[in-house]
Amino acid sequence: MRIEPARSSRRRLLSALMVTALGVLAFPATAGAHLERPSYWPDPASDTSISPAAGGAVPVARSLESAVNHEGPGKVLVVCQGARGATSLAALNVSMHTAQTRGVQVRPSQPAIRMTGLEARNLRQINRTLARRCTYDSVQQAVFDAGNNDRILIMPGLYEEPLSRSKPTNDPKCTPSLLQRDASGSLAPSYKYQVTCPNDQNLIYVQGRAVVGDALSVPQSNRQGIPAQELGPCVRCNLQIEGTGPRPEDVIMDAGKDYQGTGRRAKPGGYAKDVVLKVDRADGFVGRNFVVRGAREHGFYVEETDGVLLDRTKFFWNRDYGHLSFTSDHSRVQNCEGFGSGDAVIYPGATPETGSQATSFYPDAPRANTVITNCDLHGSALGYSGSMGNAVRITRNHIYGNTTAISSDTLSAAGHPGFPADSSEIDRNFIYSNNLNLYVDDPPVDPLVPVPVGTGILYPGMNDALVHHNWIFDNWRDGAMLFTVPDDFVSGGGAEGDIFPGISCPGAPANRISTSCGNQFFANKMGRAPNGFRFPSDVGMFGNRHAHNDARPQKPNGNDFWWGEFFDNLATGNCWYGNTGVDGTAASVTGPGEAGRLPASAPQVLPSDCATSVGNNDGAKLTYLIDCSNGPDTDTGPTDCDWWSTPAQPGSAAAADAARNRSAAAGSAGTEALWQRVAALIP
Amino acid sequence: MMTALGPRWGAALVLTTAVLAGCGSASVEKVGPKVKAERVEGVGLVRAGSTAQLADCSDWRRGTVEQRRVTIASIRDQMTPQRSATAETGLSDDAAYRIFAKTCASGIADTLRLYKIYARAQPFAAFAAETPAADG
Repeated sequence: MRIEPARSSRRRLLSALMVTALGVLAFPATAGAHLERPSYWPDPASDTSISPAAGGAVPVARSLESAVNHEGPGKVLVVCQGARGATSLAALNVSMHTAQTRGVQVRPSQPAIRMTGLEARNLRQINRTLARRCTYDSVQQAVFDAGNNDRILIMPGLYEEPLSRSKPTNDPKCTPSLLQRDASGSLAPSYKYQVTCPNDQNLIYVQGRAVVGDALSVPQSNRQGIPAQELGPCVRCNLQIEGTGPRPEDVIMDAGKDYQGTGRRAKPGGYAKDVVLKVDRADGFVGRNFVVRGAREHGFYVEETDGVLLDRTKFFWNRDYGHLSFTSDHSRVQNCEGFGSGDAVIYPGATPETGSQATSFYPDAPRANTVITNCDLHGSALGYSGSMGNAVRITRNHIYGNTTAISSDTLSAAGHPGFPADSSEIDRNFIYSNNLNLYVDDPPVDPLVPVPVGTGILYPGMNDALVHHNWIFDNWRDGAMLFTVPDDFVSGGGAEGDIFPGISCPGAPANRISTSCGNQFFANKMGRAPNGFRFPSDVGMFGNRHAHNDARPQKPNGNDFWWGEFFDNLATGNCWYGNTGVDGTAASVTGPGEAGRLPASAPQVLPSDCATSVGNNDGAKLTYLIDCSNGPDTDTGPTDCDWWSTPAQPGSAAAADAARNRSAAAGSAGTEALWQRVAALIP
Repeated sequence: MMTALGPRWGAALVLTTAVLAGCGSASVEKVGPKVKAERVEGVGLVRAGSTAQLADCSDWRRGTVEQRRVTIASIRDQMTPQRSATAETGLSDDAAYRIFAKTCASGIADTLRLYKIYARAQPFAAFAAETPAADG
């Protein structure tokens, strides 16, 4: 017999179900985080036990010229290939010719810049000098011999590190004796494990601090500060690792094998190590002018480190993340490029609470603890992602040709302190043509995580974010999506670490709703490219579909803004204002009213007033989102999830047909069946 | 100005919790004793004595039933908070098995990491499994 709840009961059910569904929705949207030892945020103050002090700020890179002029501090260790660097110098000459004739292109979206004759002579002379001083043919061996303030200069070449590759994985010297058991009983390699068996997982490992004691048997709930009992003095702080060619591609640190084809952008057919370059508790680290390629998991991985600068670095074909930063502070990644990641090119996870939830541990808060700028992130499942990505600023990047461009979420997977994620800022970026469908047979990039094809920004459970002054166009599903993650559904048993109460959502954490409040989307240009804009050639990489590369600025998104909405009696502070749409006016922004992406029940609200913003419980969206939680499939009903295929190009007849098919979703039989199920469970 | 949640929200929360808890406990009763992750190897490559980190759908398909259950146990342990000895997942091992079996049956899911699927399914799988198809 059909159960017909009274209207008030239905409203209550709807609220309950919305909580459930929205929580569920968060999960397919997240980057899936990663598994790691219990990690702590480093002391944000500089460490003055060495001179110059380490950490406390983003480090400043030292010039290449200073390395050959004997300007300190620290010693210079040179890595090269061939007798007295002959092979490296030969490679340098080839690259120099290219740099002078065709130019150096650090990012595909930017023009190549030709090297002048004077610049070429200087760089050639520096490399000749370095070749005479070269004593290493292995980056790892140079790192082992390095100390605080030292520099490692890598001359052009492909560095496969055969000695590191020969080291066993799951080395019995460290497994299981140096595994660390957390309170829930699961095991992870401890810091001491990494130090003792540095090439078990990593091609190149940088140990930043001495080992002085064992890890705590039960991790501290407060993750502010690495426990003193295991925090040794600096042994490789203020280390700089730098390639010496004119292009980042001249120095490749490579953990891949069995390459399909040749060239710097070739795809590996297998992996020798999980991580190419891991930087661990090494405050004040600078990496510049190189490529990390071919990791089974992560290309560059930095953990529990205060002060990191990556400049002119590239991340190619790293299977999980090109760049993974975890519980690290004062970090900046600039002038970078990455592609070929099955999760994200760049992932700053569990970043410090320097935003809305800052405590006295961060006396200079609020501030961004991580900045990603002037990068091209493309050709991956995600350009950027970050679970518990607190106070990360993403600015002035080009993010294109991915399945989803950006996802920053609240997902309290094991070891991700910082719940709930807050204070993300996404500004002045170009986010376009993210329509790469990897959920097909024999995909060009192996997807490790399910995310919606055709999406610009995805915020599952973010607070106090500012999304502004971006150009967001030609994403065939949605320009930006926002939904909540109720506390009860963030990892079994609750959030990781302490939750600082009452900051981001009204009544939190007592009311169990701590996420998706106070987010503002303003001054964005939606569905429209800048005048004179042309796609970079890599926008079509891996068969990514995109609008015509013509001078017309109109390049619509499938829908500009999508909000999962909230409860009609809860003020959320989420608001959208001052944005313009495909014709350059506010009126053409899609999302509110009947123009929003279906399935959905009218009216689709998109409040412009932050102070009075409330949701409008939407059963059709709910039904659709529940289906999305089931992962990739090929079902095509009106309320079935369609995240796993490329949406029809906006404005096409196929897009109009799809909208008509979904218009019947509100009040469908499926929605009613769901109601019955929930009603039957009422005590 | 923001307002606090009212009693209606409290009722909704209780209901939601009941939905999830009810389904989860029912499933647990149908399952045998939980398998300890350390006894035998699960599917996929081993790291730190566990396959939780790297196992994917293609590994799942190649594994035996016992190996799959060990994998689930290992992921379950990894996906609960590190600071708590008592935290438990709301997703029964049986329900997780069903989720993996369904998702991994599709060729387009070959490379998806199992723990990432688990994290997504954890809060809702038990409910979804007993709910008619959304499109009727």
